[in-house]
Parts: sequence; C-alpha cells; structure tokens
Amino acid sequence: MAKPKVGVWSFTGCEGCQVEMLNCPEIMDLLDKVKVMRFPILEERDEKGKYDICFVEGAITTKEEEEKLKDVRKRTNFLVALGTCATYGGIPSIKNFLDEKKVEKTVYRNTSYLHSEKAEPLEKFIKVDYNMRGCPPDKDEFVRVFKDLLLEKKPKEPDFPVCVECRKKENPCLLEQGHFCLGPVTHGGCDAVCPSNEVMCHGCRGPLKDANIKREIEIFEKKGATSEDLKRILIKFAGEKFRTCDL
Amino acid sequence: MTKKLQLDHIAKIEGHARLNVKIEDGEVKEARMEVFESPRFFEAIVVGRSYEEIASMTSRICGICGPSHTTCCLQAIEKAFDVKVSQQTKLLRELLNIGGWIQSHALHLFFLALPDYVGGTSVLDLPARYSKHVKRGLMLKKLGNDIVTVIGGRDVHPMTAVPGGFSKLPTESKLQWLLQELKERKQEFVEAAAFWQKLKYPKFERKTEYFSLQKKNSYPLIDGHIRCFGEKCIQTKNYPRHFKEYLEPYSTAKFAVAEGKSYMVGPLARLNLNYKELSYNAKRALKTKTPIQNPFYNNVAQAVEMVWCVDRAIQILENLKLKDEQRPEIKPKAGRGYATVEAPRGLLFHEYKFNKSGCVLDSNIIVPTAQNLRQIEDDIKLLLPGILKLKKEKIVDQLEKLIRAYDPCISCSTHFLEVEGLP
Ligand code: SF4
Ligand code: SF4
Ligand code: SF4
Repeated sequence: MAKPKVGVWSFTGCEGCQVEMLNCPEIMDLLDKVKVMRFPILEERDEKGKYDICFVEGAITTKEEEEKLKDVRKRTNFLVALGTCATYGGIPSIKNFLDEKKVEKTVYRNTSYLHSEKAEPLEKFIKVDYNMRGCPPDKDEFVRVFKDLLLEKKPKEPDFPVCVECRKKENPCLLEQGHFCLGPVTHGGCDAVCPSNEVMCHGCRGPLKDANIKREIEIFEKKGATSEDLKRILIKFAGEKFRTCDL
Repeated sequence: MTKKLQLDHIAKIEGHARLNVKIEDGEVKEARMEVFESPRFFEAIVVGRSYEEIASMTSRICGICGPSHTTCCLQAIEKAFDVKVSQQTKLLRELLNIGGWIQSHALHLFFLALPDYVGGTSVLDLPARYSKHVKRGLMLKKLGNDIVTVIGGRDVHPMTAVPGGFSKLPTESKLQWLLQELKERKQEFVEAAAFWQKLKYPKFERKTEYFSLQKKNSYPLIDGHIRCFGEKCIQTKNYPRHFKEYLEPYSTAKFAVAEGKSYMVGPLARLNLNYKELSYNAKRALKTKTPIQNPFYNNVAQAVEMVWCVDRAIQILENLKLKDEQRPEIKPKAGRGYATVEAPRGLLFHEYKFNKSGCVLDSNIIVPTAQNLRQIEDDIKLLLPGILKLKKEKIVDQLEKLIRAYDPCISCSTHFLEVEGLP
C-alpha cells in the first residue's frame, strides 16, 4: 500500500505547534510511515497534488491566507486544525477586539502600508475534520490522532472539561482559592497541566460546546471580578467564541 | 544590464521571508530581506493587560524561544515594581533559559542547517551516513526539552515562571534525574561540537560590530550589561536609545540599526565578546581563534555554546539546595521597566510602561532577528559579487546557507528559493 501523503501548513502563529510535533518522542517513526510532502520548518518540497492528511497551524489573517487555505482544503482528504490559533484564532485574535488604527499605531508609527486584519479560526472559512486544540497542542493527543489516521480510524475529540483531569490528579482547586480558573468551561485533554503547576487554566483549549459560561461568569463575579477582568480573562485564546457573552 | 534575483520564501528559518537582489553590471545595488509574515501586533495586544498575564502572552511571540521572552518580560515587570527575586529564582531561571538555548540550537543545527553542509534537501532525506548525527541531535534536543519541562512545566510555552519567582518548584527527585541525564550525555555535546567544527565553511569575512550582554565571571544568559565588539563601538549605556528600529515599506518586520549601522547579535557575537567566560570544555571544543568574522561560523558558535550550556547546567544542579520559599510580594506602581536577556538568537529587549494598578500602558519589544536583518543584507551585498559566476542553483544555495547561518527566527527554512533573472 502506498504511504499516505501528509502535509503541514503554517499560517499566522508562533510555530510552536510544529515544534511540539517534533518534540513527540516517536515523531521520526511516525513520519517514516507516511510520505511527508511539506513541513515548513523542515522543508518545502512539493506543494501541488492531493494530500491524504494535512495539519494546519496558525490563524487566518489575510485574503491570501484565506485563498491558500481553501485551496489546501480542496486537495486534502482529512484536515486537522493544529493548535489554538487554528481552532480559535488564539493570542493573535486578541487584536480583533481592539481598535484597529490604534493597534497599528502602537507597533508601527507609519502604518500607511500595513494593515491589521482580523485573526480568524480555520473553521470560519472551511470544514475542519479534527480540531486539535491547545497552545501548544498536547503531544499524546497528537500521537493518538496521527496513529488513528494511519489506521483510517476517525479520531475523537476530547469532550470533557479540564476539571476532570485536574480532580483525578487531586490538585488543590484554584477556583475555590479565589483564582479565576477557566477549567470548568474549557476543553480537557491537556492533563490539566496548568493547575497541576499551580497556574490557573487560562482557557487555551477553548470553551466546551455545552459549557455553562453564564454560571462561570457569576462565580467569577462573586469572587470579585469586574467586567474589565472578565473581558481580559475571556478574550485571550478564544475570544471570538465569547463574543455573544453578556459581559 | 540590470538583473534581479529573487529568493521567494526562505525555508528552514522562522517566519516567512524572501530575498530580493538587484544587480547592475555585476554590482549588487540592492539586497532586501523582505519579511511578509502577517504582523501579530504583540506590543498592542498587551496594552491594557495586567502584569500578571503578559509573560504568558509574550511567550507566544515565538514557539522556540518562549523561555527567553517569558524571562525578559518578567524581569522588566520586576524592574518596574522594584521587586527583588531570590538567588534560587535566578538560578532556576538560568536553567530554564539554558534548556531553551539547547532546544533552539539543537533544532537549528541538526534539523535546519545540517542539510546545507552535508547534502539532501531536508533532514528527512539526508544521506544515510548522517542518520547517527540526526539521532544525536534529537537526543540533545530532548535534553533541552527535559530541562524546560522539569523547571517550566512544559517544553513549549512553559508556565511556571511568574512575576517574583515560580508558581511551583521542581521536585528534588526530578532535579536529581536531570543532573544524572546531563552527566551521562555530556560527552555527546562535546562530540556534536567536534562534528560542527569539522564541517567545511565558505571562506567569507566581513568586519562588523557585535553586540551581546556581558557579565563578570560568567557567560551572558539572562543578565549583564550590553557590550560591543568592533572597530568603532558605540556607547551602549542607554540601550535602546542607540538602537533605532525602523520599518521598510517592503517588510512587516522591523529593522534595527545602531547609530545607522548594521550589527550582529547571537551566538557568534556572544562568543567573540565572552570567549574567556566559557567553561573549560567549551573552550576546548572551539578550535578556531576568536574573534571570528565569518558569519557561517555562527553554527560553530551554537555548537560550542551547547557545551557551555551542559557544563553550566550541571554546575547549577550540583550546587542547588532547593528550599520552599515565599515569592516576594509585588506592589504594582506607575512607571517603566525594561530588561534585556540573551535569547538563543541574540539580544532581546522588553520594555513596559505601567499604570498604578499594574496594567500595561505601552510596550516595546526588540527581537534578535530584527537586529540581524540589516546585517544579513550587508553580508549578501559583499558575498554575492564573488559568486555571481556560479550556476544559479549554487548561488541560491550559498545565499540560503548564509541566511540560515543566522538562524533567523524559525518559520521559513527550506530549500525553496525561486530565482529570477540570473544567467
Ligand atoms: S497555537 Fe500557540 S503554539 Fe500553536 S502557533 Fe498558535 S501561539 Fe503558537
Ligand atoms: S483548579 Fe481549575 S481546573 Fe482544577 S478543579 Fe479547580 S477549577 Fe477545575
Ligand atoms: S490547563 Fe487550560 S490553559 Fe493550561 S493547557 Fe490546559 S486548557 Fe490550556
């Protein structure tokens, strides 16, 4: 059987997702089982033709990126949005909520030839077959999904909150201690790595579909969060998902 | 006759960039590094944010040097609020950054730069006899990952380093394990340096100025004063007033110059300024006399620095008596704070202005690659005339190799250059 053709694409992000892929201990064995068509930080071989699997990192910020993404989608059988920039817009999407002209002026004094466009998730433009959330994504999840795809099995996205893994590890609860931990409403699958290191979950894996965000906001308010605090907490990795929240 | 040479998309570097060259009658009139990566406006998105969260945000500037951005950001915050951190915190931060250097240098040397010197288009199709070197590279990289994970909680965008110290300390047993691993693998670092030293580098030299931090009795990492090495060094007391950043209409990245001139930052600059502070093994690993003015030797400098990294990490771990300590209390106040660290690719500068409750009013971040871009252009202007007679592919290879030797932030490094207008 011919090896599946795999491609990695990178739009607007920090490339940490690609780095995390390379950090998987078994990465060389995994790449051996496929034909790597392109992997931007390693090589840029063939861009043309069809792909069986593509991993797409980064948010979409320009018309060019949007066109390229649509083209990649057409040529790809199974497309994975890799990391939070790709699944939600990530940190770059914070600027979607700021005054554009002001944003440009802060960084570049003369902005006549520079434009700040919105950073959008892939799903805004195309159908995504698997959302691999996380900034960076979790190595175990990456390996599991990769292996599933090699077996032509449809991988399953984690659908439980961070709290589940956090409680299993018997971490002291930061929310109970008065910190604004987003664990209860955030997609798990990261082994609750932040609360396990005594840092509250800042929601890098985005809100669960049926999460009771209203209740979480009430809890935060009871603990003294102002509406400015709430905006800061929610508009970070997946701000677009909270646009409709009443803050 | 005017000829144009365009290298579209320089691969195996970080970010998206291309090179545009204009040649008139055999003379290079123009060499432009055009960075067309979408700007992410980090300096603007931290505005209005609390000092407690900006380090986790600026870490996302780069997936490779997160520890450097985090540390630099934290030190700027602490400076603004007059927070003194403990000696233990300083040592743990050093370890975190040593891990970051190893991660970054190993990735660049063995995954991105190696094909330039031994053939093959990428690390995935190197000649078979080099596979043991790639394996070694992976192992060294993993050690870097292990250090960052033990100290920082995760190998990419670590989260335990916070204002005043660490949210959680590593366990004694993990530190012991790390020490054991490093001692066992130490020789591999020495051999890697010997390997990089043996490769053939193009003959090319250009006098320029080198900037790096300098600190008494130690190789520079997360603190020190800025020093310069070169013909007419500028005074750097008031960095960054001397370092001007400016924009070119053809690029979304900022360029930096020191009093109008290009300069180099990074491993070679550090080595040229701080050779005598290297560890014994690192000094022995370097077979070339400093100062080294050949930018291709930046690769050798990285390999030598990795030897220093492992020696220094072992030294810290052997002497560290971990104690559970309280983080100093932080009282935000209005004012400015700035800090410089040596990121893997060179001098990194963060500056913030805060209001009285500790929210950011204004910020300025100068990254190493911005400082090296003009330097790369100037090198190309000198390198190109001497190789114009070569075949097109050879010219492209040589230019890419030079650009990559600078390890410009990782996203675009592969063999990809489209060339126009060459004979
Ligand atoms: S999701 Fe995070 S790690 Fe991945 S590219 Fe975006 S900022 Fe970097
Ligand atoms: S610390 Fe956060 S993630 Fe853990 S149980 Fe409490 S709320 Fe949930
Ligand atoms: S704990 Fe929260 S912030 Fe941390 S990795 Fe998991 S989802 Fe992301």
